[in-house]
Amino acid sequence: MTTISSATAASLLPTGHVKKQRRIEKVVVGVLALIASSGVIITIGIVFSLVQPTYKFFTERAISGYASDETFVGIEESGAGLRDSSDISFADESLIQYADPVSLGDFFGSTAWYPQYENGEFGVWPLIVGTLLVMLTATIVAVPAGIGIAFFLNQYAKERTRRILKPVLEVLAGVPTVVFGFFALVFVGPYIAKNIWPFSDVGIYSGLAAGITVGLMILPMMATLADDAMAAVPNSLVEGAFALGATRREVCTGVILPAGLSGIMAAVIIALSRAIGETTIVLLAAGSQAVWTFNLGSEMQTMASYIGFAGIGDQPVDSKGYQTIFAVGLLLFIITFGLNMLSRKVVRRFREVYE
Amino acid sequence: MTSFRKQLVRGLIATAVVASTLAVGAPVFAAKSGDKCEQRDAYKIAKVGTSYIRCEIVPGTSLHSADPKKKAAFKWKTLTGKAADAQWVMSSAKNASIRVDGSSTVAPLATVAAKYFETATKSVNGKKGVKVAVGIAGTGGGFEKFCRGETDISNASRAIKSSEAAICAANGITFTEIPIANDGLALVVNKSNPIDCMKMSEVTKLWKTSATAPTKWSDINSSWPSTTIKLFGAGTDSGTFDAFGDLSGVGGKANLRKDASTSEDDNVTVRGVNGDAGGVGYFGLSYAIENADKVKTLKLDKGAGCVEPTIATVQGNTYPMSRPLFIYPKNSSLINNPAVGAFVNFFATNVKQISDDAIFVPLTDTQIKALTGALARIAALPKKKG
Amino acid sequence: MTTTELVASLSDSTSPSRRYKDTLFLTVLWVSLLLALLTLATLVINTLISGASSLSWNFIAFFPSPFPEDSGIQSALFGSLWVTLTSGFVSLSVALGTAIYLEEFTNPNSRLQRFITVNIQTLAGVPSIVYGILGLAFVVRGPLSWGFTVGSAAATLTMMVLPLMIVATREALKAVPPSLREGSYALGATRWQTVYRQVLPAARPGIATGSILGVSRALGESAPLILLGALAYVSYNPTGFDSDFTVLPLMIFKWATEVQDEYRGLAAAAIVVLLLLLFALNAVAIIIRDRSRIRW
Repeated sequence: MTTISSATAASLLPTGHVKKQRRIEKVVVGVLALIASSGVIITIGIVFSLVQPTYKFFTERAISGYASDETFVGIEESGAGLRDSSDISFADESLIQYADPVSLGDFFGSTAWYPQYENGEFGVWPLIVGTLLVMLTATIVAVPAGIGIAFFLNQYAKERTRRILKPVLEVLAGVPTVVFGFFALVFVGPYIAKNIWPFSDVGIYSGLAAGITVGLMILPMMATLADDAMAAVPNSLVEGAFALGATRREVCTGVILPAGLSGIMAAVIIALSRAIGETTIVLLAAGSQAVWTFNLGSEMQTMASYIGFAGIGDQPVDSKGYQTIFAVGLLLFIITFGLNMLSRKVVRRFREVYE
Repeated sequence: MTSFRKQLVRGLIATAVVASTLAVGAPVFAAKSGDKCEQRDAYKIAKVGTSYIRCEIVPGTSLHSADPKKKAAFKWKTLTGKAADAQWVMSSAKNASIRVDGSSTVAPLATVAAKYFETATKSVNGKKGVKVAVGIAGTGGGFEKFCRGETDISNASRAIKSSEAAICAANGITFTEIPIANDGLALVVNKSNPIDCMKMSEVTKLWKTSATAPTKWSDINSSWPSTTIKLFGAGTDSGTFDAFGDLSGVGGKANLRKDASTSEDDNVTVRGVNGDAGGVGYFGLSYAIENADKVKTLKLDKGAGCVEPTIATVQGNTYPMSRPLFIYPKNSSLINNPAVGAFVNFFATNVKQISDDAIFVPLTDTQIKALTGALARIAALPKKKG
Repeated sequence: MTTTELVASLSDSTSPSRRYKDTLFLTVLWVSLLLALLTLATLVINTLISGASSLSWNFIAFFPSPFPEDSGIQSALFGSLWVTLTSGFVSLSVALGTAIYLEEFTNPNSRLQRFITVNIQTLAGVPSIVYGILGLAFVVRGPLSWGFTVGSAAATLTMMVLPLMIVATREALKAVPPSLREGSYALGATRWQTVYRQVLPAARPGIATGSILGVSRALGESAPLILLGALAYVSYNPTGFDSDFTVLPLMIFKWATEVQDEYRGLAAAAIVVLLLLLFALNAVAIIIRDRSRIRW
């Protein structure tokens, strides 16, 4: 940033301090560089923690159970004799049953997702479709309304209104997702989702309730990002349109929207990526079964909510059920990573146009 | 900039004040035997003169009584003899902590025991009572942690499997099995469902994986409504799931239908069955009793007529889906951490009241004998050296 | 719409359909705005109504209990305090170091800086549940095997808020004008002396605001902790980093899933407490921001 000036300044230093200060400087730079690498280390950690178990999931077999385990101890037996670890016969290694590795074909080629059963099925499509449906619902709620609020803030609101509205949006954006989850469970589900879905009965858990609530959650972020994108549209364009006699609406839809489109698109993509990764709301509102369905009124799981769900009841480490957490996590990571990359590309294009 | 520092200091002082008020919350009291006490003080011990009194529920009253006259009342009672001795075992367990994990069915029972035990030890040891954390990893998940040595006690809604025992043995972990309560697996349906009683063969048909598995209630019995069946099940790693696989007659959990909503959290089932006219699910009897206003519990018939799940029918094993619940303390914890032994003893000696307060079916007389025997074995474990 | 089309449409300036469309458009904007405001209002009012009966001093001072009547959130409050403060402190330190390194010691156009910047932006977009997976695989189990303790939760949340903290602290450093640095260099100070004595004090308000926002994110987060293995019942305050614990969002999650009405009240009351804490934090951030609006 100020390379030349500081080098010049350094050469002018009194010689007595220089050595000591230079030494301190070197240590400081070294320590800071080490600290700055933490982000890279975390990234490597994420990739490694996802890829390794996923690789096992697709290539190695895992213990699924023991053939000798089906002995039920009833009330009478439990009172009949004393047992401790020395009285229980151990399973013989020859009785171990294994689950085969899951093939990519099964993972992407089947629509049955029952990973936690002994003879599990691992078709990930119900989760992908669930994620898309919840995301779509959230988009329908958040994107038009978010752009609308941004238009309002950008063109219609007086400075005083803006000064009130902005913090309100910030507050709404800061509400924790578990609070939205509770809201979905006690309000959006029973009072809204149940009454607006014409195609089927809506149960107590539904993708619809989850999607609407996720949409409400990302709305303030969508509005703020879209507002920023609109603020970046050069004033000359806007004023030119007004000079030609355009009304505010025409300025909004005819000038700001097309000129800020790439920024707004980037905002939409970021908001979508938030919606895809949302866990707690969907976990609370959409139920616990990965149903293969396109009906939003039905119960469903998203990729993120499945991961959370699988974490609540502990899976035996290294079982196929446990490894699904990582396989689905990797898929989720790749999708959100791709979306973020896409948004950055869109933004870069948009910068090239106006700077 | 200095004003920020001042604000920071002020904030810290305020936090410290709030924290210390919270810490010094316990009221000083002067009570005597026969005086009233509060439910939250249940099992609290206080010294009056040379004797000790404990806050106990008045016999004949219950936390869950529908009859307002028998609604729970609590009174201080003088501790006598052996009971008093047993309580003082706890005083040697200062500032210890106990990790309990496992079955989510047993968790409510263990949580009540933990709460009472903490109240008791706090009153003996001041603020430094024994700390008990209760997790809900599921029976299988609990044994996994237990056999890795991470927990002191594992809750289980089924007996330990030989495969799990093998892993424990491989890690050098020994344990004692203690039956702690009983449970009936209640089959629950939506309140609007006209069915009151199911034959066990019908239960099997409903839950067994097959190409012709029923999708409507009328597929099982033509006189039943034609509403679509919506299944809710227990978490696949839970003892409830295993037990239901055995007790429902489908021939083990591998044959249970997969198109069910499964969750480690029984509330998911309650809410689901409550909200879906064709919903059906199963869970521990205590949940069914607690949620009697939300779901309908079915009677079951294994050939000798319809039987309702009650304390008597579960204890007598006439209800077709009855099962015992266990806790598994780790022997090394019993030896090295006196608090674990004290907790197990406390749990066992007060198990009847704890079962009642947590709405579980108490042990039968023969099970009590097994429990006493287990306690004797624990007492005979070698003591910690040094 | 091209410019010619726009001009053509404008020539018809007095048509009633245009005015009608304008009104319609404004109505649509109002509806969008109302959606946001109504959401916030309904959420707050709904929570207050269901939580009012459970809110009391006892609710804050009591510990969780198997009986809803005497349940409280003291251990969750202290758990949140431990976890949030730890992760806030650690992530702020690391974020500051990273930001200083990037802003003050590297060339903005260097490949290294661009690489780290892109990397941090990527991390900021990673869903929180993925940090839960990282925590599960590396901290709770795997190499560190800390179990579900204060330490592992704090470590997981630290990793989660770190990217946000870095972005915020970098913005704060960027806002300090170069003239301040150059003046310092002109007086013979080294880079580190300049950073330590000039840049950091000047950037303090920005750093404070940014880290408060990061801390409030950690305070409200639930998803990664759910995956790490939430405990059902912890009735004591944390005693150290290896202690069992619970936090407010987990308590709310647990109570929200219960079906009995009493628990709904408890969940709502805990939400009120959590929101109050968050509003207080935000208010402090806004005050700092407004007070220290230095115009360079």
